[in-house]
Amino acid sequence: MESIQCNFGFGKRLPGFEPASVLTYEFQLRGEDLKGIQAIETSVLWHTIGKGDEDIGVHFFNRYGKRELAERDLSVVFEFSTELPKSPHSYLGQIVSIEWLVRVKLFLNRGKPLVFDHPIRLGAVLSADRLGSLSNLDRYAEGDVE
Amino acid sequence: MKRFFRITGKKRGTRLTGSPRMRGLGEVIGSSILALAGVVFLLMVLVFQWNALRTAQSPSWTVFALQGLSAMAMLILGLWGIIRVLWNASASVERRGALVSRAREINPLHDVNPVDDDWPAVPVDLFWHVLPGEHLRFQLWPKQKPRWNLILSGVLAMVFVTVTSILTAMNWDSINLGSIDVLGMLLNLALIIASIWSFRLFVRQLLKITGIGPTRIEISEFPLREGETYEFVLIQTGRIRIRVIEVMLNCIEEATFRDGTDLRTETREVFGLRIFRKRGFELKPKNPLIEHSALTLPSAVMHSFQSLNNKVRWQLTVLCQARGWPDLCRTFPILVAPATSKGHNRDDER
Amino acid sequence: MINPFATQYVKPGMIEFVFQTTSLSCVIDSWLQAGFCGQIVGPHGSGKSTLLHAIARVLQTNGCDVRYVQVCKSARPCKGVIVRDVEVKSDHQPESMLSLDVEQLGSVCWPARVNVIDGFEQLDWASRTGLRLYTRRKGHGLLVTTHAPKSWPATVHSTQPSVNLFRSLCRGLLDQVDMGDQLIDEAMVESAFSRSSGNIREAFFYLYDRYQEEHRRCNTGLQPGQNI
Repeated sequence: MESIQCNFGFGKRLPGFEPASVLTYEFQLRGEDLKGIQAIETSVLWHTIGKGDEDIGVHFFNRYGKRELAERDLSVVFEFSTELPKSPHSYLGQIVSIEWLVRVKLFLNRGKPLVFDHPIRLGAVLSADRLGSLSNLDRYAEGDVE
Repeated sequence: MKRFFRITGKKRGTRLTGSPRMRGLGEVIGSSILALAGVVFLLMVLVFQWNALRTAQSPSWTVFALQGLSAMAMLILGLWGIIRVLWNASASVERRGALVSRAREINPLHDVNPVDDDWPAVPVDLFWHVLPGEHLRFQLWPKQKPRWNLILSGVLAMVFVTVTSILTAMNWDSINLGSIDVLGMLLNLALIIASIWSFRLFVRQLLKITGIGPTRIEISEFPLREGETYEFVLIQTGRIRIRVIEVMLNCIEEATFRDGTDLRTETREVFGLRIFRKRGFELKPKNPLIEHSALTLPSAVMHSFQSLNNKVRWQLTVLCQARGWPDLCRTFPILVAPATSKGHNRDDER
Repeated sequence: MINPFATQYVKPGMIEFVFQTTSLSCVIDSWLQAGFCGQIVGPHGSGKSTLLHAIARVLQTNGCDVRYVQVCKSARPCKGVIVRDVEVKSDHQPESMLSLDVEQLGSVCWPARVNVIDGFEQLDWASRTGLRLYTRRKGHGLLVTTHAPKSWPATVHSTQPSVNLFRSLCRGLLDQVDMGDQLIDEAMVESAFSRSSGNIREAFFYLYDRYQEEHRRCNTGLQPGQNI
């Protein structure tokens, strides 16, 4: 079952999307025993990474059950489209980071499910390091009076 | 329009007559008299009971308990009245009104308040922490810290002072009768020191809250957006000489995690920018500090974010130092909105 | 940038428990000999919860109805403890550990229901006594973690991390990222373990910050952000 591969249409790129824009993505399954797949779930979600416990927000979700999969050729390209939300934006922080993913989860006849993730970027905000470089407490602001 | 001078104000319909300041002063005097009467009454009750026990009379404990409770009630009511007046003196009229009438029922921003669905994972409830301003459109609400320190130090001071007073009265009585209890006097001395320390602690906590007066920040727009410039006003009241006051814009990350069977939260400040500073001036009750300035949010900054275990929050922090007074730090949470679409997609290399 | 010491990679259940002197089947066998009632004892951050997760997954795989709860101190003062239900996930556990050790146990008559409690000593005496009576009456299994051994139930395993163990755990985490071993070297790993007094969880948090700093320095022309 480990021979099953999932190729996303993004290739090796980290695609960037503006808030409230439309995300269209596709994926294709390759492998010897695709008929062993009982169900396919695909989702677009964000999750937090860092020192805190992980939080997840699912924006888009679609599931193909056994009946739907029986009627289709699993080697074809699956295509989905969704309008992305205005928030939260992808962010690289010091102890809190936010990452958006396109996920495909394959439920097999036996064994644990296979999970394939491809990161995407929503918005274009500065990382915590870049933001920190803008801090300047030595500079006097407007209105400074002795 | 003020009517004739009255020590206390009288409510006529929806208007209050008399001077608010004199009303407050009258309440403080009345509460002080009540508290002092409570202390004297309590001491008298304890001394009489002590004398009755010493002279082998059979005192009535029921009467003693009733008298003692009455005295304690007077003392507590008097102290509460004093604290309440001092507390209200540091609060603006708008804040007192909001505390009574529940801010959620008043929403002056209903035309601009986005629903949660528009901005997922953004703490839009911060809209409830904003009031209409006097100089600018919005007034920010300070983040309230728990008053446990004040309450606990007050209770501690009250207990120490009461016990010290009783012991002092007993020792004085003994001295008058010609017998000197050395151990009792040493204990008395230790309790006097403890009383002075606890009272100083209580006064310090009280000064932290009421000493320098309320701080107000008003801002021209809410929520804030990246790359934009906003006008803000700092209003600081009080009656002291300020060494330095400054306003800073901070971005803080907050992560909550399970540390085994404990819950721990770690915070990390990732951005800090001083946007206003003023040194060496005097605050007077009729001449509060009112300073207009501007703040510019850098471009492409992360918006306010809140999930179950993780946060990215923005705030304005006011730091104030005055000679002889505890340093003051007040924070005002602000909402930074997510940037809107610029109309095209961009692909980046991994 | 993936930080290999982020919470989701190091929290209980995400790292395979590494035995130094015994094996999973031996621990389960001890629990079995103790009448399916046992405690795992160890200091803070020594891997008790990780081992508990591993055993809970084995029990689930063998058809036991497992109820896993975590007892935490409430954030509010004087509010006692919070009891939280935890889902026992089997997605991330390597199959080799489960199948190999379970096979060695042979045929076991597992209890129908097992209560797993992380933080047993946080419960008060009355709750612990009540649980003892309830477990006996119902014939359920019980497996708990404690920082100090209690008189009941019997101790089935004591966790005691070593610097070698921590080193091997870090190596496994750093192998999953590019340049991991270049950013965090052996000296940093040993320093993290010693400054945390053997608390692996604290050591991981320390290495999280160190990894961030080293990655920042390796990045082109950036300096760590200033703090007020």
